[in-house]
Amino acid sequence: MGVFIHWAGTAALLAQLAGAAVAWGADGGADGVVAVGVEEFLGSTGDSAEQLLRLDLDRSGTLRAREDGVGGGWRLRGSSSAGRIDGALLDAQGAMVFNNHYADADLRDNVHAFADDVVTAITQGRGLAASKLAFVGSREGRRQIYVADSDGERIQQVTSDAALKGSPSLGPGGVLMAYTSWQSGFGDVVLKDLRDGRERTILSAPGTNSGAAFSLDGTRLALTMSYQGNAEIYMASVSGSRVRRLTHARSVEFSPAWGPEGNRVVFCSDAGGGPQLYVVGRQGGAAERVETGYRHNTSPEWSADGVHLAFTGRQGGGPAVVVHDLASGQNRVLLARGEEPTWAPDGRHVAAVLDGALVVVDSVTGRRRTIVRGFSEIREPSWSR
Amino acid sequence: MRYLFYRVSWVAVGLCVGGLSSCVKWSREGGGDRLSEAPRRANVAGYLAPQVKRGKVAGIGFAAGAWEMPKGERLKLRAAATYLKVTGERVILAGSAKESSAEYARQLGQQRALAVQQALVAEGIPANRMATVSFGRDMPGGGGDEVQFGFVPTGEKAF
Repeated sequence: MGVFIHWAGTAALLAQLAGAAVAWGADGGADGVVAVGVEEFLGSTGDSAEQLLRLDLDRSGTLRAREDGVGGGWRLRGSSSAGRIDGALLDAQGAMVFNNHYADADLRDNVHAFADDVVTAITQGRGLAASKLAFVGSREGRRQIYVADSDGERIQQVTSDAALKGSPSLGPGGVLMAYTSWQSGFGDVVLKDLRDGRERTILSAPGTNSGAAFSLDGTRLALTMSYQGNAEIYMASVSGSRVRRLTHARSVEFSPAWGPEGNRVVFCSDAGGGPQLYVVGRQGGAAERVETGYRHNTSPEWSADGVHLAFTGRQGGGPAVVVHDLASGQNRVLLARGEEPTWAPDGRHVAAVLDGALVVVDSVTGRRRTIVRGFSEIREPSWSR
Repeated sequence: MRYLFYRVSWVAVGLCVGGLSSCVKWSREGGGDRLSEAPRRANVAGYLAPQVKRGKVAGIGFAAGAWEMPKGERLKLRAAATYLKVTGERVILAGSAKESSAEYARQLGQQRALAVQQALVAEGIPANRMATVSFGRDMPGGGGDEVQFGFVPTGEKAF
Protein backbone atom coordinates (compact mmCIF):
# COMPACT_ATOMS: atom_id res chain seq x y z
CA MET A 1 0.00 0.00 0.00
CA GLY A 2 2.80 2.33 0.94
CA VAL A 3 4.58 1.44 -2.26
CA PHE A 4 1.44 2.24 -4.23
CA ILE A 5 1.21 5.69 -2.65
CA HIS A 6 4.86 6.26 -3.35
CA TRP A 7 4.49 5.36 -7.03
CA ALA A 8 1.24 7.21 -7.34
CA GLY A 9 2.91 10.28 -5.89
CA THR A 10 5.87 9.96 -8.20
CA ALA A 11 3.56 9.53 -11.19
CA ALA A 12 1.60 12.63 -10.18
CA LEU A 13 4.81 14.61 -9.75
CA LEU A 14 6.06 13.46 -13.16
CA ALA A 15 2.73 14.36 -14.71
CA GLN A 16 2.89 17.79 -13.11
CA LEU A 17 6.43 18.34 -14.31
CA ALA A 18 5.42 17.15 -17.78
CA GLY A 19 2.49 19.54 -17.68
CA ALA A 20 4.76 22.37 -16.66
CA ALA A 21 7.13 21.47 -19.49
CA VAL A 22 4.28 21.42 -21.96
CA ALA A 23 2.95 24.70 -20.63
CA TRP A 24 6.36 26.29 -21.00
CA GLY A 25 6.79 24.89 -24.47
CA ALA A 26 3.35 25.99 -25.60
CA ASP A 27 3.04 29.32 -23.83
CA GLY A 28 6.42 30.58 -22.90
CA GLY A 29 9.32 28.75 -24.47
CA ALA A 30 9.71 30.46 -27.79
CA ASP A 31 9.09 34.07 -26.88
CA GLY A 32 10.33 33.87 -23.29
CA VAL A 33 6.91 34.73 -21.90
CA VAL A 34 5.96 32.65 -18.87
CA ALA A 35 2.39 31.40 -18.69
CA VAL A 36 0.63 31.86 -15.38
CA GLY A 37 -2.65 30.11 -14.63
CA VAL A 38 -5.19 32.42 -13.02
CA GLU A 39 -7.84 30.64 -11.01
CA GLU A 40 -11.29 32.16 -10.64
CA PHE A 41 -11.23 34.90 -8.00
CA LEU A 42 -13.78 34.66 -5.24
CA GLY A 43 -15.52 37.53 -3.45
CA SER A 44 -17.70 40.54 -4.25
CA THR A 45 -15.02 42.30 -6.35
CA GLY A 46 -13.33 39.11 -7.48
CA ASP A 47 -14.36 39.38 -11.13
CA SER A 48 -13.01 42.91 -11.51
CA ALA A 49 -9.79 42.01 -9.70
CA GLU A 50 -9.21 38.93 -11.83
CA GLN A 51 -9.90 40.77 -15.07
CA LEU A 52 -7.48 43.59 -14.23
CA LEU A 53 -4.86 41.14 -12.99
CA ARG A 54 -4.93 39.29 -16.30
CA LEU A 55 -4.39 42.57 -18.14
CA ASP A 56 -1.52 43.55 -15.82
CA LEU A 57 0.21 40.21 -16.38
CA ASP A 58 -0.15 40.50 -20.15
CA ARG A 59 1.15 44.10 -20.11
CA SER A 60 4.26 43.04 -18.17
CA GLY A 61 5.70 41.55 -21.34
CA THR A 62 7.28 38.76 -19.30
CA LEU A 63 4.14 36.93 -18.12
CA ARG A 64 0.93 35.81 -19.78
CA ALA A 65 -2.32 34.92 -18.06
CA ARG A 66 -3.49 31.45 -19.07
CA GLU A 67 -7.05 31.39 -20.26
CA ASP A 68 -8.25 28.27 -18.51
CA GLY A 69 -6.59 28.91 -15.18
CA VAL A 70 -5.60 25.28 -14.83
CA GLY A 71 -2.73 23.10 -15.96
CA GLY A 72 0.92 22.99 -15.00
CA GLY A 73 3.27 25.81 -14.19
CA TRP A 74 2.72 28.87 -12.01
CA ARG A 75 -0.76 29.50 -10.64
CA LEU A 76 -2.46 32.48 -9.05
CA ARG A 77 -5.23 32.12 -6.53
CA GLY A 78 -7.09 34.97 -4.93
CA SER A 79 -10.19 36.56 -3.56
CA SER A 80 -11.33 40.16 -3.42
CA SER A 81 -13.96 41.88 -1.34
CA ALA A 82 -14.61 45.62 -1.16
CA GLY A 83 -11.53 46.19 -3.32
CA ARG A 84 -9.13 44.42 -1.00
CA ILE A 85 -7.29 41.37 -2.23
CA ASP A 86 -5.84 38.20 -0.83
CA GLY A 87 -3.51 36.91 -3.50
CA ALA A 88 -1.30 33.85 -3.62
CA LEU A 89 1.29 32.57 -6.06
CA LEU A 90 1.86 28.82 -6.31
CA ASP A 91 4.74 27.21 -8.14
CA ALA A 92 4.57 24.28 -10.54
CA GLN A 93 4.60 21.85 -7.65
CA GLY A 94 1.71 23.60 -5.98
CA ALA A 95 3.89 25.01 -3.23
CA MET A 96 2.95 28.47 -1.96
CA VAL A 97 5.51 31.10 -3.02
CA PHE A 98 3.67 33.92 -1.26
CA ASN A 99 0.22 34.71 0.06
CA ASN A 100 -0.25 38.45 0.56
CA HIS A 101 -3.04 40.72 1.69
CA TYR A 102 -3.46 43.97 -0.25
CA ALA A 103 -5.55 46.50 1.63
CA ASP A 104 -5.21 49.87 -0.15
CA ALA A 105 -8.43 51.82 -0.58
CA ASP A 106 -8.64 51.29 -4.35
CA LEU A 107 -8.99 47.94 -6.07
CA ARG A 108 -6.68 49.04 -8.89
CA ASP A 109 -3.82 49.81 -6.48
CA ASN A 110 -4.20 46.38 -4.88
CA VAL A 111 -4.29 44.51 -8.18
CA HIS A 112 -1.30 46.44 -9.53
CA ALA A 113 0.70 45.67 -6.37
CA PHE A 114 -0.22 41.99 -6.57
CA ALA A 115 0.74 41.86 -10.27
CA ASP A 116 4.12 43.47 -9.56
CA ASP A 117 4.78 41.00 -6.73
CA VAL A 118 4.04 38.14 -9.13
CA VAL A 119 6.40 39.57 -11.76
CA THR A 120 9.17 39.97 -9.19
CA ALA A 121 8.68 36.47 -7.73
CA ILE A 122 8.78 34.76 -11.12
CA THR A 123 11.28 36.88 -13.07
CA GLN A 124 13.32 38.48 -10.24
CA GLY A 125 12.76 41.75 -12.11
CA ARG A 126 10.56 44.75 -11.36
CA GLY A 127 7.01 45.11 -12.58
CA LEU A 128 5.47 48.26 -13.98
CA ALA A 129 1.79 47.88 -13.06
CA ALA A 130 1.88 50.06 -9.94
CA SER A 131 4.08 52.74 -11.48
CA LYS A 132 2.78 56.15 -12.57
CA LEU A 133 3.25 58.37 -15.59
CA ALA A 134 3.27 62.16 -15.45
CA PHE A 135 2.97 64.32 -18.55
CA VAL A 136 2.10 67.82 -19.68
CA GLY A 137 -1.24 67.87 -21.45
CA SER A 138 -3.15 70.63 -23.23
CA ARG A 139 -6.93 70.84 -23.13
CA GLU A 140 -8.96 73.82 -24.30
CA GLY A 141 -5.82 75.91 -24.62
CA ARG A 142 -4.68 75.31 -21.04
CA ARG A 143 -1.55 73.33 -20.31
CA GLN A 144 -1.48 71.38 -17.04
CA ILE A 145 0.35 68.41 -15.58
CA TYR A 146 -1.47 65.10 -15.35
CA VAL A 147 -0.60 61.80 -13.66
CA ALA A 148 -1.94 58.45 -14.88
CA ASP A 149 -1.58 54.79 -14.03
CA SER A 150 0.92 52.89 -16.15
CA ASP A 151 -1.96 51.55 -18.27
CA GLY A 152 -3.26 55.08 -18.94
CA GLU A 153 -6.22 54.76 -16.58
CA ARG A 154 -7.13 57.13 -13.72
CA ILE A 155 -5.77 60.27 -15.37
CA GLN A 156 -5.63 63.00 -12.74
CA GLN A 157 -4.92 66.68 -13.27
CA VAL A 158 -2.42 67.54 -10.53
CA THR A 159 -1.84 71.24 -11.26
CA SER A 160 -4.49 73.90 -11.72
CA ASP A 161 -3.09 77.44 -11.67
CA ALA A 162 -2.86 79.42 -14.90
CA ALA A 163 0.93 79.71 -14.89
CA LEU A 164 3.04 78.08 -17.57
CA LYS A 165 4.52 74.78 -16.40
CA GLY A 166 6.59 71.89 -17.73
CA SER A 167 9.25 69.18 -17.28
CA PRO A 168 7.52 66.99 -14.66
CA SER A 169 9.62 64.25 -13.04
CA LEU A 170 8.22 61.57 -10.76
CA GLY A 171 10.23 60.20 -7.87
CA PRO A 172 10.27 56.58 -6.74
CA GLY A 173 6.78 55.19 -6.34
CA GLY A 174 5.24 58.27 -7.92
CA VAL A 175 4.83 59.95 -4.53
CA LEU A 176 6.79 63.15 -5.18
CA MET A 177 6.84 65.13 -8.38
CA ALA A 178 9.24 67.90 -9.36
CA TYR A 179 8.23 70.28 -12.13
CA THR A 180 9.00 73.74 -13.46
CA SER A 181 6.49 76.52 -12.87
CA TRP A 182 6.52 80.12 -14.08
CA GLN A 183 4.11 81.15 -11.31
CA SER A 184 6.64 83.72 -10.02
CA GLY A 185 7.21 85.03 -13.54
CA PHE A 186 10.44 83.03 -13.76
CA GLY A 187 11.17 79.32 -14.20
CA ASP A 188 11.34 77.75 -10.73
CA VAL A 189 11.40 74.11 -9.63
CA VAL A 190 8.43 73.07 -7.53
CA LEU A 191 8.21 69.88 -5.46
CA LYS A 192 4.73 68.45 -5.09
CA ASP A 193 3.57 65.66 -2.79
CA LEU A 194 0.96 63.80 -4.83
CA ARG A 195 -0.58 62.19 -1.74
CA ASP A 196 -1.89 65.41 -0.22
CA GLY A 197 -1.31 67.88 -3.05
CA ARG A 198 0.98 70.12 -1.01
CA GLU A 199 3.76 71.81 -2.92
CA ARG A 200 6.56 74.30 -2.44
CA THR A 201 9.11 76.04 -4.61
CA ILE A 202 12.48 74.43 -3.94
CA LEU A 203 14.77 76.06 -6.51
CA SER A 204 14.38 79.68 -7.60
CA ALA A 205 17.88 80.84 -8.47
CA PRO A 206 18.23 83.72 -10.94
CA GLY A 207 17.64 82.54 -14.52
CA THR A 208 15.63 79.49 -15.59
CA ASN A 209 15.68 76.45 -13.30
CA SER A 210 14.20 73.48 -15.13
CA GLY A 211 14.49 69.87 -16.26
CA ALA A 212 14.73 68.49 -12.71
CA ALA A 213 15.10 64.70 -12.73
CA PHE A 214 14.95 62.44 -9.68
CA SER A 215 17.72 59.99 -8.95
CA LEU A 216 16.46 56.42 -8.69
CA ASP A 217 16.68 56.43 -4.89
CA GLY A 218 14.83 59.72 -4.76
CA THR A 219 17.51 61.52 -2.73
CA ARG A 220 18.88 63.82 -5.43
CA LEU A 221 17.74 65.93 -8.35
CA ALA A 222 19.71 66.77 -11.48
CA LEU A 223 18.62 69.88 -13.35
CA THR A 224 19.69 72.84 -15.46
CA MET A 225 20.35 76.18 -13.75
CA SER A 226 21.93 79.35 -15.08
CA TYR A 227 22.58 81.59 -12.10
CA GLN A 228 26.33 81.45 -12.69
CA GLY A 229 25.98 82.94 -16.16
CA ASN A 230 25.41 79.89 -18.33
CA ALA A 231 22.95 77.01 -18.67
CA GLU A 232 24.73 74.20 -16.79
CA ILE A 233 23.89 70.86 -15.17
CA TYR A 234 23.60 70.88 -11.39
CA MET A 235 22.87 68.29 -8.76
CA ALA A 236 20.58 69.33 -5.91
CA SER A 237 19.24 67.91 -2.70
CA VAL A 238 15.52 67.14 -2.91
CA SER A 239 14.88 69.97 -0.46
CA GLY A 240 16.51 72.28 -3.02
CA SER A 241 18.50 74.00 -0.32
CA ARG A 242 21.88 72.78 -1.56
CA VAL A 243 23.31 72.42 -5.05
CA ARG A 244 26.47 71.40 -6.84
CA ARG A 245 27.54 72.35 -10.36
CA LEU A 246 28.51 69.35 -12.51
CA THR A 247 29.39 70.91 -15.88
CA HIS A 248 31.46 73.91 -16.98
CA ALA A 249 31.06 74.87 -20.64
CA ARG A 250 30.14 77.90 -22.75
CA SER A 251 27.40 75.90 -24.49
CA VAL A 252 23.83 74.97 -23.52
CA GLU A 253 23.60 71.94 -21.22
CA PHE A 254 20.16 70.50 -20.53
CA SER A 255 17.90 67.45 -19.96
CA PRO A 256 19.94 65.57 -17.32
CA ALA A 257 18.91 62.03 -16.32
CA TRP A 258 20.49 59.79 -13.69
CA GLY A 259 22.18 56.47 -14.29
CA PRO A 260 20.65 53.59 -12.34
CA GLU A 261 23.49 53.38 -9.83
CA GLY A 262 23.18 57.09 -9.06
CA ASN A 263 26.77 58.08 -9.72
CA ARG A 264 26.46 59.29 -13.32
CA VAL A 265 24.25 61.70 -15.20
CA VAL A 266 23.53 61.71 -18.94
CA PHE A 267 22.67 65.08 -20.44
CA CYS A 268 22.54 67.02 -23.71
CA SER A 269 24.95 69.73 -24.80
CA ASP A 270 25.15 71.76 -27.99
CA ALA A 271 28.91 72.27 -27.55
CA GLY A 272 29.51 70.51 -30.86
CA GLY A 273 26.74 72.26 -32.80
CA GLY A 274 23.55 70.19 -32.67
CA PRO A 275 22.78 68.72 -29.25
CA GLN A 276 24.73 65.57 -28.41
CA LEU A 277 24.67 63.21 -25.43
CA TYR A 278 27.33 63.32 -22.71
CA VAL A 279 27.87 61.54 -19.41
CA VAL A 280 29.34 63.18 -16.30
CA GLY A 281 29.98 61.76 -12.83
CA ARG A 282 28.06 63.04 -9.82
CA GLN A 283 31.28 64.67 -8.63
CA GLY A 284 31.53 66.66 -11.87
CA GLY A 285 34.74 66.63 -13.92
CA ALA A 286 35.20 65.92 -17.60
CA ALA A 287 32.10 64.83 -19.48
CA GLU A 288 32.35 61.95 -21.92
CA ARG A 289 30.48 62.09 -25.21
CA VAL A 290 28.18 59.23 -26.19
CA GLU A 291 28.57 58.71 -29.91
CA THR A 292 25.10 57.98 -31.23
CA GLY A 293 25.66 58.92 -34.86
CA TYR A 294 22.64 61.24 -34.75
CA ARG A 295 23.06 64.94 -35.48
CA HIS A 296 20.37 66.03 -33.04
CA ASN A 297 19.91 64.18 -29.72
CA THR A 298 17.49 65.24 -26.99
CA SER A 299 15.51 63.81 -24.01
CA PRO A 300 17.93 61.04 -22.97
CA GLU A 301 16.98 58.53 -20.27
CA TRP A 302 18.90 55.62 -18.84
CA SER A 303 17.25 52.19 -18.63
CA ALA A 304 16.93 50.67 -15.16
CA ASP A 305 19.63 48.08 -15.89
CA GLY A 306 22.06 50.74 -17.11
CA VAL A 307 22.54 48.96 -20.43
CA HIS A 308 20.63 51.30 -22.73
CA LEU A 309 19.94 54.95 -23.31
CA ALA A 310 16.71 56.01 -24.97
CA PHE A 311 16.61 59.41 -26.62
CA THR A 312 14.94 61.43 -29.37
CA GLY A 313 17.15 61.31 -32.42
CA ARG A 314 16.93 63.43 -35.54
CA GLN A 315 18.94 62.88 -38.67
CA GLY A 316 17.66 65.51 -41.04
CA GLY A 317 14.08 64.21 -41.13
CA GLY A 318 11.50 63.73 -38.44
CA PRO A 319 12.15 62.51 -34.91
CA ALA A 320 12.46 58.92 -33.71
CA VAL A 321 12.79 57.27 -30.34
CA VAL A 322 16.15 55.53 -30.47
CA VAL A 323 17.55 52.96 -28.04
CA HIS A 324 21.35 53.07 -27.83
CA ASP A 325 23.27 50.09 -26.48
CA LEU A 326 26.12 51.57 -24.44
CA ALA A 327 28.34 48.48 -24.68
CA SER A 328 28.13 47.90 -28.42
CA GLY A 329 27.32 51.44 -29.52
CA GLN A 330 24.48 50.08 -31.66
CA ASN A 331 21.27 52.05 -32.20
CA ARG A 332 17.77 50.70 -32.69
CA VAL A 333 14.84 52.84 -33.77
CA LEU A 334 12.13 51.89 -31.31
CA LEU A 335 9.45 54.31 -32.47
CA ALA A 336 9.60 56.20 -35.74
CA ARG A 337 8.14 59.74 -35.36
CA GLY A 338 8.13 59.25 -31.58
CA GLU A 339 9.61 61.78 -29.16
CA GLU A 340 10.59 62.27 -25.52
CA PRO A 341 11.04 58.67 -24.32
CA THR A 342 10.88 57.66 -20.67
CA TRP A 343 11.73 54.22 -19.30
CA ALA A 344 9.40 52.18 -17.14
CA PRO A 345 10.84 50.84 -13.88
CA ASP A 346 10.98 47.36 -15.42
CA GLY A 347 13.74 48.57 -17.77
CA ARG A 348 11.83 47.04 -20.68
CA HIS A 349 8.98 49.36 -21.63
CA VAL A 350 9.33 52.89 -22.95
CA ALA A 351 6.62 55.55 -23.03
CA ALA A 352 6.87 58.30 -25.64
CA VAL A 353 4.82 60.88 -27.46
CA LEU A 354 3.57 59.88 -30.91
CA ASP A 355 1.18 61.96 -33.01
CA GLY A 356 -0.17 63.79 -29.97
CA ALA A 357 -0.82 60.62 -27.97
CA LEU A 358 1.11 58.83 -25.24
CA VAL A 359 2.20 55.35 -26.30
CA VAL A 360 4.04 52.53 -24.54
CA VAL A 361 6.42 50.32 -26.50
CA ASP A 362 7.85 46.97 -25.37
CA SER A 363 11.54 47.41 -26.24
CA VAL A 364 11.97 43.64 -26.60
CA THR A 365 9.03 42.76 -28.83
CA GLY A 366 8.26 46.19 -30.31
CA ARG A 367 4.61 45.73 -29.29
CA ARG A 368 2.97 49.16 -28.99
CA ARG A 369 -0.10 50.41 -27.11
CA THR A 370 -1.62 53.86 -27.06
CA ILE A 371 -2.48 54.58 -23.44
CA VAL A 372 -3.45 58.27 -23.40
CA ARG A 373 -5.16 60.27 -26.13
CA GLY A 374 -7.76 63.01 -26.29
CA PHE A 375 -5.43 65.93 -25.50
CA SER A 376 -4.65 68.58 -28.09
CA GLU A 377 -1.00 68.16 -27.11
CA ILE A 378 0.98 65.83 -24.87
CA ARG A 379 4.63 66.44 -24.04
CA GLU A 380 7.41 65.56 -21.59
CA PRO A 381 6.20 62.24 -20.14
CA SER A 382 8.00 61.00 -17.03
CA TRP A 383 7.68 57.46 -15.66
CA SER A 384 8.07 56.92 -11.94
CA ARG A 385 10.90 54.63 -10.86
CA MET B 1 26.09 48.48 40.88
CA ARG B 2 25.65 45.95 38.09
CA TYR B 3 22.46 47.77 37.06
CA LEU B 4 24.34 51.05 36.93
CA PHE B 5 27.02 49.44 34.79
CA TYR B 6 24.44 48.20 32.30
CA ARG B 7 22.77 51.61 32.18
CA VAL B 8 26.10 53.34 31.53
CA SER B 9 26.98 50.75 28.87
CA TRP B 10 23.71 51.26 27.03
CA VAL B 11 24.11 55.03 27.15
CA ALA B 12 27.62 54.61 25.72
CA VAL B 13 26.33 52.35 22.95
CA GLY B 14 23.60 54.87 22.20
CA LEU B 15 26.09 57.69 22.00
CA CYS B 16 28.30 55.65 19.66
CA VAL B 17 25.39 54.75 17.38
CA GLY B 18 24.14 58.33 17.44
CA GLY B 19 27.57 59.64 16.67
CA LEU B 20 28.04 57.10 13.91
CA SER B 21 24.75 57.92 12.24
CA SER B 22 25.46 61.63 12.30
CA CYS B 23 28.93 60.87 10.98
CA VAL B 24 27.45 58.90 8.06
CA LYS B 25 24.99 61.67 7.36
CA TRP B 26 27.73 64.26 7.44
CA SER B 27 29.90 62.28 5.06
CA ARG B 28 27.01 61.91 2.57
CA GLU B 29 26.06 65.56 2.65
CA GLY B 30 29.39 67.17 3.32
CA GLY B 31 32.25 64.86 2.46
CA GLY B 32 30.59 63.02 -0.42
CA ASP B 33 28.67 65.44 -2.61
CA ARG B 34 29.81 68.72 -1.03
CA LEU B 35 26.70 70.63 -2.03
CA SER B 36 26.65 74.35 -1.44
CA GLU B 37 23.77 76.62 -0.58
CA ALA B 38 21.45 77.35 -3.49
CA PRO B 39 20.91 81.05 -4.23
CA ARG B 40 17.40 82.45 -4.41
CA ARG B 41 16.10 85.11 -6.73
CA ALA B 42 14.85 88.28 -5.13
CA ASN B 43 11.09 88.69 -5.22
CA VAL B 44 10.66 90.79 -8.35
CA ALA B 45 8.00 91.47 -10.94
CA GLY B 46 7.83 88.90 -13.72
CA TYR B 47 7.90 89.61 -17.44
CA LEU B 48 4.10 89.38 -17.62
CA ALA B 49 3.40 91.62 -14.62
CA PRO B 50 1.07 94.55 -15.49
CA GLN B 51 3.63 97.21 -14.65
CA VAL B 52 6.20 95.72 -17.05
CA LYS B 53 6.31 97.52 -20.40
CA ARG B 54 6.65 95.06 -23.26
CA GLY B 55 7.14 95.78 -26.96
CA LYS B 56 8.66 99.25 -26.59
CA VAL B 57 11.85 98.07 -28.31
CA ALA B 58 11.96 95.35 -30.96
CA GLY B 59 13.26 91.99 -29.78
CA ILE B 60 16.56 90.45 -30.79
CA GLY B 61 16.10 87.67 -33.36
CA PHE B 62 18.23 84.53 -33.48
CA ALA B 63 18.84 81.92 -36.16
CA ALA B 64 17.52 78.42 -35.38
CA GLY B 65 19.71 76.72 -32.78
CA ALA B 66 21.98 79.79 -32.34
CA TRP B 67 22.51 81.64 -29.09
CA GLU B 68 25.50 83.94 -29.73
CA MET B 69 24.46 87.61 -29.95
CA PRO B 70 23.77 88.08 -33.70
CA LYS B 71 25.78 90.83 -35.35
CA GLY B 72 22.82 91.78 -37.54
CA GLU B 73 20.81 92.72 -34.45
CA ARG B 74 23.28 95.25 -33.01
CA LEU B 75 21.11 98.25 -33.87
CA LYS B 76 18.20 96.82 -31.86
CA LEU B 77 20.55 96.13 -28.97
CA ARG B 78 21.84 99.70 -29.01
CA ALA B 79 18.27 100.99 -29.10
CA ALA B 80 17.49 99.01 -25.94
CA ALA B 81 20.73 100.18 -24.30
CA THR B 82 19.94 103.81 -25.12
CA TYR B 83 16.42 103.47 -23.70
CA LEU B 84 17.81 102.00 -20.47
CA LYS B 85 20.43 104.74 -20.15
CA VAL B 86 17.92 107.52 -20.74
CA THR B 87 15.12 106.20 -18.53
CA GLY B 88 17.16 104.52 -15.80
CA GLU B 89 14.66 101.66 -15.90
CA ARG B 90 15.46 98.03 -15.39
CA VAL B 91 14.79 95.26 -17.87
CA ILE B 92 13.66 91.65 -17.98
CA LEU B 93 15.16 89.78 -20.92
CA ALA B 94 12.71 87.08 -22.02
CA GLY B 95 14.20 84.41 -24.27
CA SER B 96 12.42 81.87 -26.43
CA ALA B 97 13.21 79.20 -28.99
CA LYS B 98 11.24 77.09 -31.44
CA GLU B 99 13.13 73.84 -30.82
CA SER B 100 10.98 70.72 -30.85
CA SER B 101 12.40 69.59 -27.51
CA ALA B 102 10.61 71.65 -24.86
CA GLU B 103 13.56 71.51 -22.48
CA TYR B 104 16.13 72.41 -25.14
CA ALA B 105 13.91 75.34 -26.14
CA ARG B 106 13.82 76.55 -22.52
CA GLN B 107 17.56 76.47 -22.00
CA LEU B 108 18.37 77.77 -25.48
CA GLY B 109 16.03 80.70 -24.79
CA GLN B 110 17.75 81.24 -21.45
CA GLN B 111 21.20 81.17 -23.09
CA ARG B 112 20.00 83.75 -25.61
CA ALA B 113 18.72 86.00 -22.83
CA LEU B 114 22.12 85.68 -21.12
CA ALA B 115 23.91 86.53 -24.38
CA VAL B 116 21.82 89.70 -24.73
CA GLN B 117 22.49 90.55 -21.09
CA GLN B 118 26.25 90.28 -21.64
CA ALA B 119 25.97 92.42 -24.77
CA LEU B 120 24.07 95.08 -22.81
CA VAL B 121 26.73 95.00 -20.11
CA ALA B 122 29.28 95.66 -22.86
CA GLU B 123 27.12 98.66 -23.85
CA GLY B 124 27.46 100.03 -20.32
CA ILE B 125 24.28 98.76 -18.64
CA PRO B 126 24.99 97.36 -15.14
CA ALA B 127 24.12 93.67 -14.79
CA ASN B 128 22.16 94.35 -11.60
CA ARG B 129 19.58 96.25 -13.64
CA MET B 130 18.73 93.14 -15.66
CA ALA B 131 17.05 89.81 -15.06
CA THR B 132 16.66 86.90 -17.45
CA VAL B 133 13.89 84.40 -18.05
CA SER B 134 13.08 81.88 -20.75
CA PHE B 135 9.70 80.67 -21.90
CA GLY B 136 11.14 78.19 -24.40
CA ARG B 137 8.50 77.23 -26.96
CA ASP B 138 5.76 78.94 -24.98
CA MET B 139 6.55 82.64 -25.34
CA PRO B 140 3.46 84.51 -24.14
CA GLY B 141 1.79 86.21 -27.05
CA GLY B 142 3.53 83.93 -29.51
CA GLY B 143 6.86 84.41 -31.18
CA GLY B 144 10.01 82.43 -30.75
CA ASP B 145 13.73 82.38 -31.56
CA GLU B 146 14.17 85.81 -30.03
CA VAL B 147 14.79 87.75 -26.84
CA GLN B 148 12.18 90.35 -25.96
CA PHE B 149 12.55 93.30 -23.61
CA GLY B 150 10.26 93.96 -20.66
CA PHE B 151 11.07 97.31 -19.04
CA VAL B 152 10.39 97.77 -15.35
CA PRO B 153 9.64 101.40 -14.42
CA THR B 154 11.80 102.99 -11.77
CA GLY B 155 10.33 102.74 -8.31
CA GLU B 156 9.27 99.11 -8.81
CA LYS B 157 10.90 96.36 -6.76
CA ALA B 158 14.61 96.04 -7.38
CA PHE B 159 16.08 92.87 -8.80
